[in-house]
Amino acid sequence: MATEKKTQLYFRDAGSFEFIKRPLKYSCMVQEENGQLIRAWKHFYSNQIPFAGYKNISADTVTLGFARDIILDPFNKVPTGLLPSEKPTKTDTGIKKWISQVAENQRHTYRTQIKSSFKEDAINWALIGTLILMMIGWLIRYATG
Amino acid sequence: MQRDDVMKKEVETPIAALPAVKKRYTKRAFYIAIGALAAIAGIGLFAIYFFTMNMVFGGMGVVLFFSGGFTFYYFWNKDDSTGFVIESLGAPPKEQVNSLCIYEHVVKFDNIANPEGWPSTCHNDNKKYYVYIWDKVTEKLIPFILPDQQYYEPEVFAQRVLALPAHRKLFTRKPKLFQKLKTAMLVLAIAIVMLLILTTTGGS
Repeated sequence: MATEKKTQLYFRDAGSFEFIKRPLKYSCMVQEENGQLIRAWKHFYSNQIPFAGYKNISADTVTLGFARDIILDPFNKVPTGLLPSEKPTKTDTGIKKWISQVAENQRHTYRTQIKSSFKEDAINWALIGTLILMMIGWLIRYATG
Repeated sequence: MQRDDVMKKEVETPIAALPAVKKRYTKRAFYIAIGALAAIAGIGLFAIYFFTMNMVFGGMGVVLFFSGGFTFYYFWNKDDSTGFVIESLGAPPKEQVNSLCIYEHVVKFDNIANPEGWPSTCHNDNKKYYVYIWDKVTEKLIPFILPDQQYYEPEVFAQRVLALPAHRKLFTRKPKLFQKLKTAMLVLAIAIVMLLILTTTGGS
């Protein structure tokens, strides 16, 4: 299954910005390197803003994000609460409780996942392809004598 | 105030209420078609090899099948572009503009007369733009400043909360014996078919 991507209007630490396509995983926009999660920003549908496109940047709904935080909601569109589908209150307890809810969700996600390696799958599919080709060739050859 | 009214006020341009239109022919579709054709041509060449036993056809068939298959697989899964032109937002500006404006219901590049603040670099085109945000209180565009109050670090959130390295190891299902032996069984099947080919066709 293809990894779904959405556009993030990402502000770097120095204040410069870029429109960048990020994969969506675990309800977050993520930055990955060699299959490892490096950074992640919470993605909310209610916090997306349409963007018409400009020069080589394609049109999409964009989510604002920046280097220092997982949520950037300047218009307060996301409701506040303790559920992972809400944003936490900006208090120590609120954030801790919200983070523990997200982590609990992840535990359940990992429990249901089956380990699968892309490399192993690619080798197996290449072998299956070779086998099918050999069978087709052999059948043609055998049938035509 | 209704959402449309707010949007109208924010953008101050007439909204052409046209539906989003999907682009039919993209670069991705072209490569998917090329990949599929190459893979099919590979099968054809491999079939010719079995009639002629000419290694050139066999080699070319295998190369075409796998390279075509890989191209097909890669571009099938690559979905970088939304492929949509959002016409309801109006056409994006074609000329160079000086600002990026963030409204509650739209983000757009625009020209602002007498811009204030300090321009920021946009890494997509390496040009500098003034960044503005719509202030709901004053109903004006004001220079955009990132907040200093923080929820959580994106690095820590990704690596500690989402990745949960210890738990992941603990909860990962162990593969069954059949899953472990899948690759070995396929190699064995290939060897058997190869033997079958050699014995039934006399190796010719």
